[in-house]
Amino acid sequence: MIATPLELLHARAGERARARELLAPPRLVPDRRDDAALTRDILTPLWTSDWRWWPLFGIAGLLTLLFLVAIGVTVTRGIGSWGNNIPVAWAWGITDFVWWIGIGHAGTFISAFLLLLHQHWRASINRVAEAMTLFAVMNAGMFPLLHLGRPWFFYWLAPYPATTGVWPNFLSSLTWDVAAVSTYFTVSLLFWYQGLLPDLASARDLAPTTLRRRIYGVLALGWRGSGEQWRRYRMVYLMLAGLATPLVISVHTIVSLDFAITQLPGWHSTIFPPYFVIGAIFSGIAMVLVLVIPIRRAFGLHGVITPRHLDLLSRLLLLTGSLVAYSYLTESFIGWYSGDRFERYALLTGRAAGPFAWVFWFMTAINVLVPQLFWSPRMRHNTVALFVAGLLICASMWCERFVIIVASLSRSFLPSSWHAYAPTWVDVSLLAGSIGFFFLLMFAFLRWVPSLALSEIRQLRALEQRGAA
Amino acid sequence: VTRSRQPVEQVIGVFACGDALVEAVRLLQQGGHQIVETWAPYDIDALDRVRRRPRSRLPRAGLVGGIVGGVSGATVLWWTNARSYPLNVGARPLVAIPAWIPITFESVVLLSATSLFIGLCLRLGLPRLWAPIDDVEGFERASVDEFWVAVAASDSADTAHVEAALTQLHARRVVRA
Repeated sequence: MIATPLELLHARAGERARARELLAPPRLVPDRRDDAALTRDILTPLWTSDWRWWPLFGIAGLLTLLFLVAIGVTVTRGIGSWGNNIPVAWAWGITDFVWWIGIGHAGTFISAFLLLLHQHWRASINRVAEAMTLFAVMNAGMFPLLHLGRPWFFYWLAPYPATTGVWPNFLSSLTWDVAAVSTYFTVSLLFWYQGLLPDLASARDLAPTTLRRRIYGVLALGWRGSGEQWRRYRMVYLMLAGLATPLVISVHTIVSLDFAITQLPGWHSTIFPPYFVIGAIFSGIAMVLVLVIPIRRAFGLHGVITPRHLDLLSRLLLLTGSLVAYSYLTESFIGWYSGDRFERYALLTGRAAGPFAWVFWFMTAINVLVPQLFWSPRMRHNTVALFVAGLLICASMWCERFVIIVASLSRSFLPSSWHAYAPTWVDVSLLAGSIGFFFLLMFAFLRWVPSLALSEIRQLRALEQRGAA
Repeated sequence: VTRSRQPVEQVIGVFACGDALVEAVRLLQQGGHQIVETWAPYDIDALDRVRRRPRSRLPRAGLVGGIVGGVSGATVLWWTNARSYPLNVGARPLVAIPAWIPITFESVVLLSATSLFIGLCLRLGLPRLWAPIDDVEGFERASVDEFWVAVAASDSADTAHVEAALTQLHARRVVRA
């Protein structure tokens, strides 16, 4: 049977409509529950405890105890209980510091930077990512404090009018760190708390008991969602995002300057600020994957954190991972091209064939090769692969900082001043304990704080429904 | 002579979705009604356009905070290291501006962000744990899935008029407050 031109035209129009449907990006929040049901379901963990939560909380609690023991040993017996020596005066502890603060950076990147770029998909994961930032920065701050040896004198780092008349020397990058980390924590906390206000109000209004209603009511500060409140909220939220974005870049720049302003081969390099910032975001996105994939499964959030979210996160992993690989290449190339024999030794021979060569090769292999898997859409949709890649990258980014710090210090200019380095049980316990403390806070957060940005998800759904209609 | 209408009563209309609220506010205003306030579980920026509300001026608090932070931060660095206790380390310059950039920048961000947040709380009167609207039955849902509007009514005839208008706009519920 031959189709008439009119029928052909209709068929074409149908095909076009189907093609449009197929090509349209999938919805970011395809969840079928209505706003009331979705809010109630997401807030359920606040009122009812799941037995599976307790063992996880318990393990994290035990590791936190280990953290406390290691802190106790460090404070009472001094830094001698760490593996640090001269010349390896910065070692495991500063590696932990840089690693933790780097992990925090992805949270700000996702919540602030993506907000400014109108990346609406951030709404499903920004709360978790921001909580990750806060807890990671809390851990990060612990290590330089402990490394002071006498942490109770931490206030000596601040310019306060002492009777001695002495002030901190602000030519030292360590005082810059104090300003950077404390500002970063404060701004992240304000940004997180402001975003929480409307969701704490939802928690207040759905709370099953008077006590809980009062607690969440006080925490919500009396948020009612009036037009006047939203009008100002929106502006301040954007402004805070605008401040947090350069802040996050400045913080890791300053951390990298701790190294770059010294003379040590392997540290003294102008590539450090961008190299550190991108490495930080890379490790943080890996940690977001490690957190979000199990949370999505445990709370049945497949309609809110969709394969598209994981796909976008893995693309960010691929992008930042490729930039990290490029930085490695540049660093090694400049080490060779400088013609400086110490640079050449520190960046090429010392790392690739020195005592920590296995750490170096592990880190290079993982950080360079694993992100490249995510060119494949199949890998981007494989949650197990993403989770394992996240874990591996978190571990190898720790190794990267270890190589930069310890491999460079233990093999500085003169072979006569070379010294081996080995961590002690206190070093290892501090790292393991801080990971436990991080997860303790994370589990508490998932249990007692609205873990998704509910108001933003509602707004996004309204937007998507209007787009579809 | 124009006289500002003193609202004797407020009539509250409850809507099921954000778009319905925006449309209702638009039509009520066209009908000459005065909107007292709206409440919504998420940010609806179209409401501000319809109600012709200006952009918030709170960024000024951030600007002032940032300037104060930058100036005071730089002053502390200069005064402590170059004036009060000048320390000669290998003849390095006492006024070391490049080395002061990081802390000055952090002070700008810190004071700007805290002023914004404190400014927000002050302007919104937060914390404010109780407000009259809380006593209206069912207001809990305005933070979950309901969209509320309060319309001013000058007398009982006007009240009936507003109620009729809200009902006509398919308000889920109409309440006197």
